[in-house]
Amino acid sequence: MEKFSLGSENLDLRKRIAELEQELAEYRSGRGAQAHPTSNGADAAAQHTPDDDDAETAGAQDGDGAKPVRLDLDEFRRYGRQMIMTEVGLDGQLQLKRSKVLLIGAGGLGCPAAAYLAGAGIGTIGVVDHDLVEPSNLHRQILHAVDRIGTPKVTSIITALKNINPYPRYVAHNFPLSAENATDTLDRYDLVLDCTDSPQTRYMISDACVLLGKPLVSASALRSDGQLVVLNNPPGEGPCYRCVFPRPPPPESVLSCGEGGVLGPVVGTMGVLMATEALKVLLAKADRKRRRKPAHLAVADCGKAAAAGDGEASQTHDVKEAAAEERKFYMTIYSAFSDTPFKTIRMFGKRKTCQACSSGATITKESMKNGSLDYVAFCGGRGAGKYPALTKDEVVEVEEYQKLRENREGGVLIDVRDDVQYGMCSLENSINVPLATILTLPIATGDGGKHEGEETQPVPIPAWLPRDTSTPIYFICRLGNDSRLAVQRLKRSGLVKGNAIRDVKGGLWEWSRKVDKSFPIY
Amino acid sequence: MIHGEIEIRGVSESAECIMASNDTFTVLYFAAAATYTGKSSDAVPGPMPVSKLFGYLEGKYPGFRKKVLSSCALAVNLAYVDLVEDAGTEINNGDEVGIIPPVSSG
Repeated sequence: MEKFSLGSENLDLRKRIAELEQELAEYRSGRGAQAHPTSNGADAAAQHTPDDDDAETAGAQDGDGAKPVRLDLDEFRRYGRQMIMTEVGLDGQLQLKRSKVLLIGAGGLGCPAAAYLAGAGIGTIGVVDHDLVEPSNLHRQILHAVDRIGTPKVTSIITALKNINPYPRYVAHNFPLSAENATDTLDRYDLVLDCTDSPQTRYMISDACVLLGKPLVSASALRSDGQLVVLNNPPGEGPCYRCVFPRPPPPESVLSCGEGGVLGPVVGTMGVLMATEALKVLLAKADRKRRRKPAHLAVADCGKAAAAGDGEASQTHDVKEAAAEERKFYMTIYSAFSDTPFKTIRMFGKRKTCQACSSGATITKESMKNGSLDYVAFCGGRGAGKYPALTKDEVVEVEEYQKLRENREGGVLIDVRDDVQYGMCSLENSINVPLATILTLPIATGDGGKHEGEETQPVPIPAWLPRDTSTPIYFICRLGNDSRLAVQRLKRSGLVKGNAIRDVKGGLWEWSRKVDKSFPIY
Repeated sequence: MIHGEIEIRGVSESAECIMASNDTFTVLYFAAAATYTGKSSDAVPGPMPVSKLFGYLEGKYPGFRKKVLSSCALAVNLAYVDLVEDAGTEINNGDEVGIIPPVSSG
């Protein structure tokens, strides 16, 4: 059975290659595709040249799929390896060329996704990003390069993409996406890839895609974990980001790759998977009318039709079956260090109470555009709200602290980074108490110290705190944020009586810049 | 929604010592949930309705609910479960429950 199906598949593929080769020969002989009924790609279209890309217009004038496209000989050679796949074919390749895809974010996800989409021959590729290339990007953002550090990511990525494939039209959107400009920016495209890095942009992009009826491929990665989900697909049917995660994560738990770290190939894997999902969404729209079923499958179908007694009835049944199958939605989660790294979660469809995509949706294009939807507030406020503001006498500048250390007045210096980072580099005579430990300290309950139904036991003083009441306590961390949290938290614990508690402002980053340039920045 | 967590908390430690999976279901922690608990999975004594799981886990890891669980998606045997609509769904022993916090970086 297995042998038979492989054999016939092989035969079918050979036939397909022969067909494509014949088409190619006809192109070469100048007869073009008009002479060949199975070649639907060459109906009187101007040949696309690699140089006619336009930095501003993404071809918004074209109706979806209306623009006739064709492939030139170089493109046949370039895309041949994927075109001979049943899932692609000439019809699929033309559909890709007709498609306009927007990548939001030219970072760890955007780079690999864009590389494969450009390689696959998407007709128009837009990229939104407002950042500049930095050295810390290069371990994972594989399309940027040393000689483009300091240049805009959008120009850097397009430079790289043109080197991979000069055929697509590339559009640079060098600005931050906002609620105000989101719908206008996304509207020119057929499909959107969310390659961003914050909860607020994820909700915003999802809302915009729902409002505009665009499918959305969304993925993310942090440390060794990744998530991938295709949303609003087909538009109006599939769940949106709010359906999957109706409640945003608490802001203090949200880590960027800069804060939490990320393994290059983990985010790369997610980006590559995004490209695959994007191609699947686009190829599903390809015109397959001229496709013939492989002989052995056609025979099976005939059998079914005969059994049903009515060919047409059986076909309708098939269509229904296929539609029902399409309505399954999945989320893929990747845990790189697990023994079974991939899990696929079966999702329900839309959430009945979804603010964005249910019948009772309250989010509109107008509310997005006029800024009445505050995504930052929805996700828990500005980043600044995450860390407490300290008073002047709770803060010490790095230069000042250096002087204190020289005079042996540096007190206890507590580095609140985790043990991995502390192990990478640390200041002499500092001790390591990770923020996570400090956050578990009890909180003083006030004068009476009474807590409903609980006996008040004297809390043991942690060994790392000074026993006297005069030694000052200084907190330091990588960038000067967690250390502020530590100052606030230790004060609230009520465990320290009399000692000054201060934050070394700007953390080890500032220390390296202003006091000791040999101290590593990472 | 969290009623009943106290008595469940009471039996948890001893119940977990029993290795037999006949008496427990597995909770898998992903991303921030794994970071918060410091492990990738737990064996939890079951059966238990979905609505009580977060209360139980909060008892085991104080602060877990507010800092992580509140925004998590939940999957039972690889199928998404809604905390409100499917609150009464029973988690049976031998089941596999995934705690999936939204990852937003990239």
